[in-house]
Order: sequence, then C-alpha cells, then structure tokens
Amino acid sequence: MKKITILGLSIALLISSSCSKIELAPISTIATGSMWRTADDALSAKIGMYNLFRTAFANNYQWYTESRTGFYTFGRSFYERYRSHFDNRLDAASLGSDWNDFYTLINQCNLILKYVPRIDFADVQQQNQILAEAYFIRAYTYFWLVRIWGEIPVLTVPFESDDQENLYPVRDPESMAWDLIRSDLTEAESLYPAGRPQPAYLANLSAVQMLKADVYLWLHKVREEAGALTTAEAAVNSVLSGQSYQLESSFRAVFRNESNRENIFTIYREAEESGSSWFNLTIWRDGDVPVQYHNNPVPVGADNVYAFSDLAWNLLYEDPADQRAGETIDSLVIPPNRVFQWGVKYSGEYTSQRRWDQDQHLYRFAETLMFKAEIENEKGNSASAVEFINRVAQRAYGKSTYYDPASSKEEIDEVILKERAKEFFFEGRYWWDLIRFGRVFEKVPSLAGRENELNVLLWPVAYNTINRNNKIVQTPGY
Amino acid sequence: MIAYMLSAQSVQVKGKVTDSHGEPLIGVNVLSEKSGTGTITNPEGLFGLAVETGDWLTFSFIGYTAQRIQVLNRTELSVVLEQQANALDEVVAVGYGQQSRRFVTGSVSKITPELIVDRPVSNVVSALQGKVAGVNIFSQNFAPGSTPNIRIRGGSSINYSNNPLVIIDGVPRSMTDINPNDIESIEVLKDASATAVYGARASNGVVLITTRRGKVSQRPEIVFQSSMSYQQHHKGYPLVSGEEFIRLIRTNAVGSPFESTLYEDGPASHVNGDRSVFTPRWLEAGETVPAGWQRMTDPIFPDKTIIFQENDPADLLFKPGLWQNYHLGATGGSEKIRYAGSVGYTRDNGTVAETGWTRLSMASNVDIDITDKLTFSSGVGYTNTRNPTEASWINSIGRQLIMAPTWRIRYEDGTPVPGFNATATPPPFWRETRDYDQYQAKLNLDGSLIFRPLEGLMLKGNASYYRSDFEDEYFEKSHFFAQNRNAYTNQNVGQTRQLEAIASYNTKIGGSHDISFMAGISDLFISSRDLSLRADGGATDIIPTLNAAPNKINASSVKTEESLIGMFGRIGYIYEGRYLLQASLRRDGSSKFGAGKKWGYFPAVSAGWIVSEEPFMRDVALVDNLKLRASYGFTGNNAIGAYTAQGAYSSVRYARQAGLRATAIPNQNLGWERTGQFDIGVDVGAFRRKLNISFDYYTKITDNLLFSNPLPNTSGFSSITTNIGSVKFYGVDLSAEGTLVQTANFSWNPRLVYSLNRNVVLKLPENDRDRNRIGGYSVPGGDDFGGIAEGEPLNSIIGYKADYIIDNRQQAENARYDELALGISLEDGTAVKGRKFPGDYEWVDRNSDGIINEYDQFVLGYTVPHTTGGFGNMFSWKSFSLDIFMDFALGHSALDRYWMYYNGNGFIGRTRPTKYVLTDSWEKEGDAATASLPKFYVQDQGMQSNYYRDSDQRTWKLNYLCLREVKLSYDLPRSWLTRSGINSVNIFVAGNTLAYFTKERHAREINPEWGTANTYDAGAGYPAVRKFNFGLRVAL
Repeated sequence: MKKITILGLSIALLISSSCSKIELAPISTIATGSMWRTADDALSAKIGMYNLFRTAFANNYQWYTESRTGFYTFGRSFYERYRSHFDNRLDAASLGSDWNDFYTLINQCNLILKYVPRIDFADVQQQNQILAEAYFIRAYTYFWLVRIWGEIPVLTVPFESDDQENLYPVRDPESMAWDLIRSDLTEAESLYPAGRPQPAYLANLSAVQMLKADVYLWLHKVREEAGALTTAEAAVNSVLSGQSYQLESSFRAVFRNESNRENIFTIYREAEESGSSWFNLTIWRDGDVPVQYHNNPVPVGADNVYAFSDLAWNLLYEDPADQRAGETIDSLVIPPNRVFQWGVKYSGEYTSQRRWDQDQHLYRFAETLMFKAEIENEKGNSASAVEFINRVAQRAYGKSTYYDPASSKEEIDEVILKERAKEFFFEGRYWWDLIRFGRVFEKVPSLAGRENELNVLLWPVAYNTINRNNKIVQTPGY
Repeated sequence: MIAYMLSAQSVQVKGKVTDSHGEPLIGVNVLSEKSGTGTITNPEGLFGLAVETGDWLTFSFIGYTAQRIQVLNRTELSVVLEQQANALDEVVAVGYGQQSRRFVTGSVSKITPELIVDRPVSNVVSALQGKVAGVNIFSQNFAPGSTPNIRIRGGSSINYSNNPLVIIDGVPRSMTDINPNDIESIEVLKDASATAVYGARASNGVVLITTRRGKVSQRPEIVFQSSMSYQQHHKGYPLVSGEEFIRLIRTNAVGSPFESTLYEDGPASHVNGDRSVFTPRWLEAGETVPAGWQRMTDPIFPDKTIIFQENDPADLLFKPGLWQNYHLGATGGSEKIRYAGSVGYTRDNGTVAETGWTRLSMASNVDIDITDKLTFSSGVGYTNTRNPTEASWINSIGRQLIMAPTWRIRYEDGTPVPGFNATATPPPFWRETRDYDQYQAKLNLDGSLIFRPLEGLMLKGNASYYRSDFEDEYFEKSHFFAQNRNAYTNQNVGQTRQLEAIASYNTKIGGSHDISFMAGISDLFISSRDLSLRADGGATDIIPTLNAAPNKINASSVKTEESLIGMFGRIGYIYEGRYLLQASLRRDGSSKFGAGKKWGYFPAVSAGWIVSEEPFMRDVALVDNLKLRASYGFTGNNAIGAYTAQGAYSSVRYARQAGLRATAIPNQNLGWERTGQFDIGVDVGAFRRKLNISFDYYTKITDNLLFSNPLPNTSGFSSITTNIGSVKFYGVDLSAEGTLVQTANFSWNPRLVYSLNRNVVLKLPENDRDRNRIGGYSVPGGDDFGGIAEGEPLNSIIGYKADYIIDNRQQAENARYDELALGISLEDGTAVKGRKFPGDYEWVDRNSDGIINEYDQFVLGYTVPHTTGGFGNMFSWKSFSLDIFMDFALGHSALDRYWMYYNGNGFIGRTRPTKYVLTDSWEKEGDAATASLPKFYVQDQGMQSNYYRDSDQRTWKLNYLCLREVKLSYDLPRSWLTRSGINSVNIFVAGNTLAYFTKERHAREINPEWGTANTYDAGAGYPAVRKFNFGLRVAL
C-alpha cells in the first residue's frame, strides 16, 4: 500500500509540475505580445519597414513604368507574360497587377505609427525620426498606388486580428488617397528632426522634400490643384538651399559609386539580402553568348529578355557626345547577323552567376534640378528653367550652354521631358513624366489613338486580389 | 520388389481430429513428413493415411494451432487442435493497453508480420499498401529511403496535417525508424473509441507498432534473413529520337518567330561548333561522319546533310540497381528474464545514377521480473541511415529528361558539357559538379516499472527519450555556371521526452460482470533545433566542408519547443461475455494554443453485441462469430506550428542591419480542431472460420478546423491560422479473408481489402463569396468555381476543357477570342492576340461570353482517390506457397506538367516531344477527325498555348491496379535439416511493383499512385521501381 501511495504522490507531483509547462514562449521569433516595448523594437521595426519597401519597389517598379513606354522589346528569350506591358494591353493576370507587397509594407508602417508613440524613448528625436520615416514611406507607397490603380483602399490602421473592422476594404475615392498623402507628408516634414543625417538608403528630410515636390507637381499638372505649384517649389527650394547634394562630375560614377553626393534616396541592394535584380533580364545568359565575349563586352548572368526599341536607341544615342548613352544601354554585333543588346546602368558586379548589388535610385540631385526647371517653366521663368536644365546637360554633353535660354515654354517642356527620359532611363520616371506632361498618348506608340479607352493608363486588379475580397471591384475597362 | 519393400515398411494410421470442446473438425490437413502425402478429415473428423515408421504427421487447420505428432508405433491417433489466439481471441494492442480481439468494440485492424516481412521493401509503410481497410498509402516519389504517404480514412483536416499519430512501443515516433523485421504487430486504430484516448493528436487515426519481445520460458530462437533484389525503373513517356527531333523542330521552326534558332547554337540547328552545348551541324564537303555520330538529310535544305550525336538523357540517368537486406534476430526467455534483440542492414542502390540509401538498425527489448509483482522493462532502438541524394528532383531528373537528345555530353577532352543553363544540364555535368548527402540517426530509449500488487491491478511508470538527428551536406564544385563553390550544411536535432504513469484494474463480479478500469497521465515535451550554415569562395574542389570556404554567408539556428500534458481514463464493462460497453475520456493541454484555449476534452463511448454468443445463435452452424459494434467520440488535431497562436515578428535584413517585420498575425483564440466520428461495424466469421468479414461504415465531422484562412492581400498577411469551418469524411472499410480450398496438399486463401472514402466541405468562414469559397475563381455574375467551397469535395483539379480541334480556316475565324493565344501567323508574322488557327484546341466557353480566359476553367478531377484497396491470393501446395497480391486506387487524377514541357517544346525549342506528337498531332485540314493532339509548335507557349495551359488534355485519370507482390517460397524438408541444428529454412523469390495496369495509357507513363494538380514538384520525379527478389530465412 505504501508503494501505491508513493506512486500516487509522484503522479500528483507530475501533474502539478506539468500545468505551467504548457505556457511556452517562442525562442527564435518574437511573439506579437512581446513586441513594441523598447526603442530597439522600434528601430528594428523601421529596418523591417525598409526591407519591405525594397520588396515592394526594387523589382516591381519596372512593370508600372519603363515597360509601358515603348522602350523595351523582346530580347533572346521570349517571356510572353511581358508582352501585355509592352503593348499596354494589361489584364488581371499581368505581372504587377497584385498589390500584396505594397499593402504588406503599408501594414508595417501602420504598426509603427500605432505603437512607436507609446514607447518611452530616452531620445525623443529618435522617436520622431522613426515616425517621420514611416509617414514618408507610407506617403511614397500611396503615391504610387493611387497613380497605378486610381481608386485604392486607403488603410491607416494596422491589422492585428481577423475580426478587425475594414479587414475586407473597398476601393476608396482617389481624393482620400491624396488627402492622406498630403497629411503624411506634412507629418513627416514636421516630425523629422534636424541634424540627424542618414545614408541615402534611409529616408532623410531631403527625400521627404523630393517626394513632396513630386506629389505637388503631379497635383498641379494632372489634378490641376490650386496652390500646389507653390508647395512643390518650396519643397525643391529647401533641397537646393540645403547644400547637402551636388551633381557627380561623371554620370558613370552615380551608378558605380554608391556613396556619392548625388543620391538623395536609394534602395539598398546586396546579393545575400535582396536576391536577384530585375536588371538581370537586360543582360545575357552565359550559355547564349560565345565564351570570348563573356563580360567583354557582353555582361552575362541571366536570361536575356529585354532588348530596346528603335525609340530608345534613337533617343539615347541622339547626340554622340552624350556620355549617358553608353552608360545606359549598349550592343555588340557579331557578323554576319548576331546582335546582342544589354543594359548597363544597373549591371553591377558579376558574382555567383548573377548581378545584384546595385542600389536603385529613387531620387537624386539631378532630379532636384529638373524639378526646379519644370517649376520655373510653369511659372513662366523660361530662362531660369533652361539654366537648371543646362546644369544637368552640361555633365551629359560636356557643353556649358547646351540648350538655348531663349526657348518657348512648349519647347522647354519638350526638352525637360526628353532630358528626363535620357537621364533617368531605367529609373522608373518617364512613364509618370509622360502623364504629367500630358504627352503619353502621343509618345507611346502602342497607345496611339487609344485616348478613349476607359482607364487605359490605369491597371486592372489581380484575379487573386478579387478572389480574396470580393468587395474589390475590378478597374472599369478591364 | 522395391515397391514391395516400401509398402512393407508403411503402416496405415487412422484417427479423429476434434476441437477443445470435442467437436469434430472437418477438412483438417494431415500431412506425412517423410512421404509428403496427405489427406483431410471427413465430416466426422476422421482420417486415414499410410505412414512410414518413425514418420511425423502435421495437422493444420485455418484458425487452429498446427500440431506435429510422431506416429511411433501407434495406428490410431486422437488429436485435439487448439483454436489459434489470432483468430478470435488474439490479443490486440489498444491505446495504453491490450484487449482480446473478441471484446474489442472499436475499429481496429491488426497486421501480423507474415504480411510484411520478406518483402523487398525498406520500410513498413510500403509493405502495408492496399492491405489495411480504411488506409490509403501512396508514393509521391520512389527515391531510395523515401516513405509513402499514409492516410487513415482520408484524414480529418483541410489544410493542416492528415498524417496519423504513430506510436512505437508507447513512444510517438516515425514509421521509417524501424526495420520491418523487428515488428511483432501493427494495429491501426481508426474509429474514435479506439483513438480518443490519444486525444489531441488522434484525429487522423493512430498506428500502434509493437516490436518483438521475448516470452516466458521461450526456447532461444535465432532467425537470419537475407534477401537481394535486382531493381529497374518504370519507364515514362516514349520520346522522339534525335533524328525525329531534328526533323520536327526544323520543319516547324521555319516561318515561326523562332526560325532564327536554327541559325545559332541550338538543339536542331546546323551551325553548332565543337564547344556548343548541342551537336547538330552540317556535314562539311568531303568530311566523313565522325564515329559515334549519326547523319540525316537536312529536311529544310535537302542538299545538306546534318550530323549529330544522339544522347538520350534517360540512358545517362537510369541504371538497374541492387537492393539488399540482412537481418539477424534472437528472441528467448527464462522464467525471470525475457529478451529480443536484432541487427539489420539494408542497402538500396537506387535506379538513378548517384542515388542510394543504407540503413543500419539495432533493437533490443529486455524484460526482467525483479519480484513476482515487479517487472522492469527496457527498450533500445537505433537506426542510422545515409543517402547520397539530390536537393530537388526537378533539376536533377525532370529537367534533364525533358531536354533534346541531341545535346553534347562531353567535350573532346572528356570534360562534361554544362548544358544551356545552370538548372538544365546533362546528367553527367550535374552529377560531377555537385554532391549532396543526407544522414539520419534515431535513438530511442525507454524504461518502465510495472507493479502488480494485487490480482488484476497493474501500475506502470514509463520514461522514454527519443532523439532524431538529421544532417545534410551540399557542395558544388567550381563549374561553368558558378565558380564560387557553394557549400552548405543543415542540422536538425529533435528530442522527445515522455513520462507516463498508468494504472489499470480488471475484475470479475459474480459470474457475469467483467469490469476494467484504466487511468493515466502523460507528459510530453518535444524540442527541435535547426542549424544551417552556408559559405562559399573556397579555393579547391577537393575539400567539400565549410572550413575551406572563406565567405560565411549564413549561420542560423532556430529552436522550438512544444509541450503536451494528457490525462486519460477508460472503463470497460462486459456482461455475460456478449454485451460490451466502453467509455474513455482524455483531457489534453497543449502549449500550441491561445491563452484560454489550451485545454480540450476528448470523450468516446462504444458498445458491442456478440450475437453469436446468444443461445438462439448457438445452433446456427454456418455462423461462428457475429459481432455488432458501434462507437462515437471526439478526437483532436494540434498539428500547427509551436507558436502560431502567438503571432510573430521575424528577423530580416536591410543594409546589413537587423530588422523585424510582422510575419504572422496572432490569434489568441486559436484552439483545438475537433473531430466527431461515428462508426458502426460488424464482424462475421462463418463456415467454420473459412470466411471472415469485417465491415465498417463511418462518418467523421471535423469542426473548428485548424484553418489557414487566406486574408485579403490588403491586410499585410497572407493568412491567419484560425478555427473555422467544418468538413466531413465518410466511407466504408471492408476486409474479408477466407479459405476457398483446403485439401491435404493444397490450400487457397484469398483476401480482400476495400476502402471507400469521400469528403465534403460543410462550413467555411464567411467571406461574402458564393458558398464561402476560398481560392478558386470569382466569376463576375456568379458561377464561381475552384478552390474549396461549402458543399463541394476537397482536392479538385482546375483547368480548361478542350471542345475540339479546329480543322480549317473557317472554323478558326469563327473561333472564340483566346486570351492565351498570341495569334502569330506563320504565313505573314503578324500577331493578333486572341486569334486562333487551324490545329488549335477550341476551348469550352464556360460563361458563354465569347472569350476564353481564366474564367473558362472547370473541375477536371480530384487528386485523392475515393476507393483504394487490394486483393491477394495465397496458394499452398505441400512445402510451396505462392502469394500474389494486387492493390488498386480509383478516382484520382494528375494534371501533368511534364506533358506540357515535352510536347509544348519549351525552353525555346529545346525540350523533347513525346512520340505521340509524331503520330497523333493535327497537321493539315481534315486531320481533326483523327488527331488527338493539336498542331505542334516550336515553343508552344510563345504561340497558341495549346499545351501551355492547365487543361483536360493533360489531366490523366490514374485509376490503377498494381501487381504489387508475387512471392513464391519453399520450406526445405525438415528431414534434410534434422542433423544440422537448423529448425527451418525458407527460400523465396519475389517480385515487387511489377506492373501497373491503367485504362489511361499515359497514367502508367507517369506515377499513377500520386494524384496531383502539379507533377512539377521538387519532391517528385523519382520513378517507380520494379524489384525481382531472391532471399532466404533460416531459423535456428
């Protein structure tokens, strides 16, 4: 009987020691309930936000911009999925029609904006900087979303459970997105502490100002909003007067030296962090290139999909003196008839079969000058406008007064548009420029005569998006 | 004279055979060992036989223990055969105990070693295929060391695990851990009354494996088993030859957007040089055809001759391989100490170059009676496996097989040719540039103290420890596509600690009340640690380890822990030996669930009625046993991540800084998935046990499904793990075995297993879609399809349906706009998207809008078979026995992606079509009446996507019948062995997976066991293996 008692006691002991054991916290991740306690949590969340920012923009931006401008054609490989972009015949299966990555990023911004104010920081300026960056990233993202899709869900509250309000949102009116972008920019600007510069791959106050100029120029020209031009001008002026940036003397250096003084805002890329860049599609698979031409001059690394249209070649090589041409795209002809075309700008270093580590430019000082020129021209100061264009042109052509200051407003607009195309090729600007200048149906061959097609400039929403939330209505026209 | 002398020595013996009640036994097999002659008993149980002096007689009868009797000088024998335990009163393992088969009220299938040993398979799961009612076993992959999937009654969940709980000697482990020769019995627990005592983990059924133990006062028995197989792979689609390939591509490329490929290095070009990846080129003037090359007239420039090398990737990949198994075991016992121990070695050389698998296994069970009331039991099990393998079968088999047969394998200097990109290489290049090996070790230690203080009372304390080690190592030499010498190694250590205390008590009250109690608690703790290391930049191909690689790219470790506490009990009551009642309850707490949801209760009740024991049935001679059973109960499933409920922020990197991002949305309400199962069954034994049938009907409804519920892609998360929805699995299990013929020298025993399992989704989370559909397509205006939806079965395959093949221009002009057709004219090169041409499939317009797009797809089939089973026939003639076993599965389909790669001529004309393209394709107007395949295009994906879309045209119905096992064995006559000290020698030849029979011819050209919506899977592609086996079993 004693033995039974002992056994019984051991069982009782076992049970009592067991019950607490079913409370186990994760070891290699952080449980949601354990996050947002210290300044370090907030800093980590900020880095996480930039990681998601890279995921959302570093490769995808091509679908929305250059791919639609008529600059690209098919190269060696023929990826049928890309044809809808080249032809501006998008459908709900087109690559880029899924907005998942953008909203994952927005949710991270919304988490930061919700929780960081509740954390006690020893350094309040650090707290403000994180918040300013989150407002900036959110504004940047919505600025792209609203231009790509028009009406989009405007979400400002992070999702933390599945019974939350607005989990299945509708597409809100465009004005809601613009209101949010404006107020986020105001918040970012006012919160951003002075005297805390960061590397260009994190947002500085100048990045906020550049976005502001970009947004308000669009509001002025496309949405014809009164007073927007003044706001844009103030933003550009603050970057110009800040004296922190300057044009690099050589165009090549902008893309080969990642810590140059022209960069205002970039996306950081490195082989082990960011994976393969979309730019690999402009270079060549080793198996397709005779060995003696490998990286000499034909850059190898991936399957060549993109070649460039006559439109692109004629534009970039218009003036043989333009040092940008050979730094943007290049070609080799092996007689009698083998032609290799490739992209140069972001070809980066060749390591581990691929090319990866080229930081992507979102804003650089050349654009500050071009924005300034565009604003001056809008204000009727054509001589001043040409002066700013010529600062960029001087580096390109090696000539101090490349464009004539005595040009008309229309001529200067044409020059700005063309110089932007040359300067920012591959940088995701020209498509938006064409819309902002109202020239898209005229300049893009595949859009000629299609002005009356409903929403032809906007994107359809991916099948997958509607399948998961049938409150989302397909973009009319698709 | 000789005849006379023989007959002079023979004596006529007669006698009677009865059972233990004195009833005569009819049809008992009586066999003389010396002469090999025999007879059977007549309806009065009587027999007569001529025997020689000193002869032995064997009396055998199905369901009874055989007896061997020496005649000596007797002429009249009276023989009593005892009913065998494994007929009706065999002991069956149930959760935390044992029961007599007679009184089991749940649905439990028992598999004895005869059905699994001496089969040329490496693991026990393979040996069970088609042999257990209600259990579906299928292989996705046949690589050495791989284990088939196992589903009991279809599983229980939609998108969480449907794998059963496997308990080996009381410890949760994996079925691959043990050598089949070490198994004493396998019990498959199917209904809730059998499984509910395992509570939280039991929804998908439970497999109990008991390993061999010694018995009290058992004579030492040593058994050595050895077998060896020759194995070869089952062949895939017949593919075009080199010459056929060149002709097909050249003639079809002309005028197409891909004509230029004929003028650059390529598989059907005429300009390849010595360093090109492909061989074809024009024969130069005056040149003779090099040795080993073939020639053909250029089909597009008939004055030219093309020469090429034919290098069939299949010849380079596949080779016959050897499979071997050796096993030595000893069992025995004295009054106080019982033991069983073994060592085993299995080696499978595989059928694909540079693959293989070896296993070393050891097992030891020792039981010691310390006193009359106290027993100590211990068990040790260890297996160690090693296999050279591949990280992905897609790159190492699939993408190599689909390539043109005209490629170059080696340059003139003997170095392997790299192929045209890093993941489409000829087999030798791939295998000579990389090494991938996996190692596993599993160790199990357990010890129990069993105390029996009183009659009927048992107290047991058990502690066990289980550790599994997995390691892999990868090294890529410097080669054409990568010079960085990538190297990685991963390690996983899984540890399980289990403490259990169990008490049981059986008693009889009066003459007619049998009562049993069992209660216990269990404390389970599982931890896992993953380590992964990656580096590159080494300077040499000779050192594969990471010490030689200076660039340390990744060093990561991840740990998880899980704990489960269970308290359980069971009460059984038997009245008059024929009315059975049982109830059980388990309470489980799991660390995986949300704060207030950690504990769950799992009750079950069952009842049985042994009708044949009723007085009114005793006189029904035809029926020996008739039992009705019914049960209902609840089980759970906690197969989710250890910390899913708590949400997660995971580490990421940006600009070399560590960051955190929200990766999983928390759900503190996450709780048990609960399956309620109803089972009604009947067991029948008839015609003096010559026919035994067991039949069950069941229905299982799982509520609060652990469900990965997709979230809108505006939420920042792809899904949330939650408990919503309900699914029903229902079906029938039938097993029957019998004795069709039983004579003195010959017997024929057929057996049949038939399982029907269907499912339907009952409830899904509200999402405002038609039938709350998840996934699939939301069609504007309704008629949604695909994914999963209420009222529909799971596992559907979605794709387009071909209506007919467009035969002429008129039909093409009238054809519907097709979103995937590029409409590139071969005549003038113009591209008009959506345009169709003669030879294209016209697809069915589901929504009749005149446009073919994603909304025009249909359910083409299901990936899971509704019917599975097997049937076997065992024939015995004297000392020979022949067992033929076939298994089958019906109702599943596969959407084959390789068909698309082959016939769609992908990779810009580099893939190799099947022979069917030559014979069955549409080529010209009028062919549509007979052609089953569309017009062949170079790079179909860049043209009309006839092959390059999911469709019924490459969805194969996989209904199959497999000749799984044929085994002929022979027992050497005992007389040969009497002086050698050897007890018995059995030699056998066997075949395994000899042939698949399918109605759809393409089904047997892929793997007919694996239903899937996408065959292009990294875990699939190693073809099925046919084995021819020879072996022997010697018992001392």
